[in-house]
Amino acid sequence: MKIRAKIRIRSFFTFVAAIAVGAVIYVATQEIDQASRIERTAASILKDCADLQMVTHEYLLHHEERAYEQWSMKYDSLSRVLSLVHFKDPEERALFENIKRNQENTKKFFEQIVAAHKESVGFRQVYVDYYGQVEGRLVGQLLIKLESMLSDSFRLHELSNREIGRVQKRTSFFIGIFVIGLALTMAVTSSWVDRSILGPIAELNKGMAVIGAGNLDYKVATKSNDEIGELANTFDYMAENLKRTTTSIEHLNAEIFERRRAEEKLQDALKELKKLDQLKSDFVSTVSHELRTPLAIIKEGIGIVNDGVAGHIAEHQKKVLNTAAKNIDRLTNIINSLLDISKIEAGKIEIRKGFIDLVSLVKGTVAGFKVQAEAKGLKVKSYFEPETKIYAHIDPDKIVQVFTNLIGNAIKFTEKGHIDVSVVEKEDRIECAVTDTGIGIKKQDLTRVFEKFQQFGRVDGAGAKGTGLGLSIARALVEMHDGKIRVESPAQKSLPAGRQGTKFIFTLPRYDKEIVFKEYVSYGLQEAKKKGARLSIIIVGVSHFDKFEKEFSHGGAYALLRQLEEMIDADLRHRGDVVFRTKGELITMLDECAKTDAEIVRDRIKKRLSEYLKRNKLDKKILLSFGVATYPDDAKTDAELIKKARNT
Amino acid sequence: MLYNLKNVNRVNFTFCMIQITNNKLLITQIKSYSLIVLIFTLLAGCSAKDEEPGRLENVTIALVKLEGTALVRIALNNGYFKKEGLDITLNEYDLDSDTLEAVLNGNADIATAGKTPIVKKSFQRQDFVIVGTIYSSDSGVKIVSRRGRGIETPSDLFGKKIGIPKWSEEHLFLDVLLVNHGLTLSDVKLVYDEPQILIKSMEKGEIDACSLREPYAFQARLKLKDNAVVFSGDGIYSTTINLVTLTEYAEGHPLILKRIYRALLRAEEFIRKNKYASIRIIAEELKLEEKYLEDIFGESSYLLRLEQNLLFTLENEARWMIINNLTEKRRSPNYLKYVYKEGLKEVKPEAVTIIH
Repeated sequence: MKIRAKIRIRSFFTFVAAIAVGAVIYVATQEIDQASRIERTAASILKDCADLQMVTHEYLLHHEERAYEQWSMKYDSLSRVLSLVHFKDPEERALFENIKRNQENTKKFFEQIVAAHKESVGFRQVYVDYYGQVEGRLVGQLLIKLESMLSDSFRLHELSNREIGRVQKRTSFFIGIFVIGLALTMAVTSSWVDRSILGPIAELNKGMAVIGAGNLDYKVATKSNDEIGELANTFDYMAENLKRTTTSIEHLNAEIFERRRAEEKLQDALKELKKLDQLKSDFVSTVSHELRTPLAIIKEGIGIVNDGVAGHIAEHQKKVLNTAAKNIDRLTNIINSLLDISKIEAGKIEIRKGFIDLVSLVKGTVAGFKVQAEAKGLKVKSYFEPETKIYAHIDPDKIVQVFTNLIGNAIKFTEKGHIDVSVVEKEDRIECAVTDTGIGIKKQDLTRVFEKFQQFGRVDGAGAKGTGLGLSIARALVEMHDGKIRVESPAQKSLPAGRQGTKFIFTLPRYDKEIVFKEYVSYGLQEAKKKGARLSIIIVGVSHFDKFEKEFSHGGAYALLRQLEEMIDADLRHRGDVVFRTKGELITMLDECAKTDAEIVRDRIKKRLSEYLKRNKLDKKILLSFGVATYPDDAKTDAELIKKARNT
Repeated sequence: MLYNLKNVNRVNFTFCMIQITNNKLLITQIKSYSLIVLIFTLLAGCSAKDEEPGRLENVTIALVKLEGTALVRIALNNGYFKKEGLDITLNEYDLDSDTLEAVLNGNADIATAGKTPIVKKSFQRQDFVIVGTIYSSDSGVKIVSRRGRGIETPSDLFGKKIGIPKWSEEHLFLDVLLVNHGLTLSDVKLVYDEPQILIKSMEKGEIDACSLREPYAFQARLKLKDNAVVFSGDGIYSTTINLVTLTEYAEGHPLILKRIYRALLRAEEFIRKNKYASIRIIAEELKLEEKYLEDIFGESSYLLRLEQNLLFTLENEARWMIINNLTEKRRSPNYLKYVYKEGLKEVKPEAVTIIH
């Protein structure tokens, strides 16, 4: 049986018992109420009889009108009470009948006495005689009846009181019996429910303790078929599962132990490999450095000989020397690449980011390849709408190197056609691409393109042989900018047979200048805190920049800001100082700069910019604000520092 | 015999009432118990709230300068009348006949008066009622005599020169006292005068004794010092101070009467619980000695009630006046008509024992 059912049964029995007790108490109360009503009536009769006797005496003494009136009132009152009441008990009924009979007689005697008294008034002697007889006859009878009434009413009252006592006793007895019955019912049902619930719970509790101590073979196995029985079965099932799981875990632990040992061995091997790689990088770096200098001297020497400075040389000798010089250039490039890759791997490459217009950067880079491409009959093209600017937060030298590697690679592997360079702004990134019309890359080689020293599938032309490091370096540099690089081949479907083209695409993240600025300040602040140094920022704000932008056009406004930025940059003297633009603001961060020094720099910038605006008659149109704040003098956090610099 | 019978009946009646109360209590308990067992929620009903006094009602009380008016004085002193919403104006009089006159003439709403002026007026007018008794004492009138005049017991008064205020309570008391000791008024030589003059006469030795009510009996005792011999009537005569008003006023202002009753019942409780504080208040009000009041408080009852024996004693006094030809009427009035019991019955039913 379910626990809920047990509890319901217990509640039902308790309820029935309580109803029974309540019913008994109700019936008993009614009985007591009835007895009390009779007792109250008896008391009322007793009081009226006593009062009647008292006013009778008062009347008999002086025959006062007041006493007569009170006698009549009291008689009527007693008559009313006697007419309303009915006694069931034979003794009580007999007494009641006596009282009624005597009451009627008292009235008869009393009225006779009153009449006799009235007749006697005015005839004193006659009255005295007559009253003497009445006293002996009527008054005596009247007083006897009154005494009898009073005595009966006392007895009646006593009996009614006794009846109350009896009812009370009977009621107490029955209430006691039923209350004990209720208590027993509750105790029995409670005990039954408790035993059937608490027993299995105790077994379950014991089982939990045993299993908790580690004995997973223990079974609770309660006989109860209620919710606790179900719980115990579930618990046994859980213990079985736990046992199975524990066994599996033990196996797993052994396996993990083995794997850890293997992993440790691998780690050791990796460390060893890293050491070797580092040794190799150091070796390459050292060798490269050591080779570059003599190579430069050799090239210089060849140049001097080739120019005839060291004496006349024949044409065929020049040819030989030119070939030697070209190979020296090639060797220098190889060495540079080796140096770059070793620096990258050693983590020694320093990225110095700034907000750079990629369009200008690409145009400049493409222009640098013009001669080389034309020499091969190729064209390197880049298409941008006039005045297009695409700003990215990059190290321009490194991105130029990426473009250089990709364009150089494209020229190297393209015999006919052209190379296109594009920069496109996407929603969350800037996408740069270099596409050629060359032979392309075999599908199976695409995954290895960016690995070091990979040279595959491409037909080497004259001078096409490289180090196999260019794409690897490009990937490393792009990733240092939080970007990604990939390759697609074939890149174009409309190319003649034997050519499928290759497209290298790399992405750069788009940065919000405000976020970059905060990152800058936050980074600068962290560094300052580490060093226990100060950090100052100067914010030059352009008032109503939106209006100014409309008036001067987008390009004009930014050109002016760039001009101002360059002027500030030119004014900075410390190596760690930087300046950059956000929308309508020029922010200068002064590394390890005290507040007083920052204020001097601020004044200097102010003077220079004001003079510039005045010279170009812009001082009425453009209003600049100059704020400065220093950590830790003015603020403790980056947000406070920026806020302070903006509000001063 | 009559008094004894009455007392027996009272005892039985009291017993009956206790039984009824006990039974009621038991029934109530059992009912409550059954409800608890059945776990029924009991919702407490709101008890009927006594009517709240609204604005202050003006009531003028004509008050006699006697310590028997203690209930009124304490109620006034302790602010009980004000708490009941009554603004009391007190007009004080030396004689209780004057206080009654003030009510009958419309100069006061309520008077405090002894039985004698009430009975005298009851032969002339029927438009006033007693609404309560606020004081009663079996030692309110005393015989004070000079030591050395051979007066040690009431029987010794035979042939003595005794001073009394004529047709007063003192006169009636002396009459009853003499009759109770086998004498009549004709067995003594009566000298009629005001109490103060009688005290001086006794001091001078011109009269042998005086029948005096308090506080004159106490004053005489002070004057005679160790020469004073005092005895009271051993309960043969009861003095009372009653509240009297016009029938029209009682029937027209039941609410005011109830408020007065409530204030006086509070004063009654105050006296019961604070005897000495009450004595101090009365002593200060009436310029009486606290020592005297301590004696008086021990012999007197300061309770608000309307008792059956009031009617009987009023009739006794009326009959005495008829016998002594103080009135032309030959029958005593029906004093049930001179009692207004409805108000007090509502406020404190057990205080009304007049048979009705």
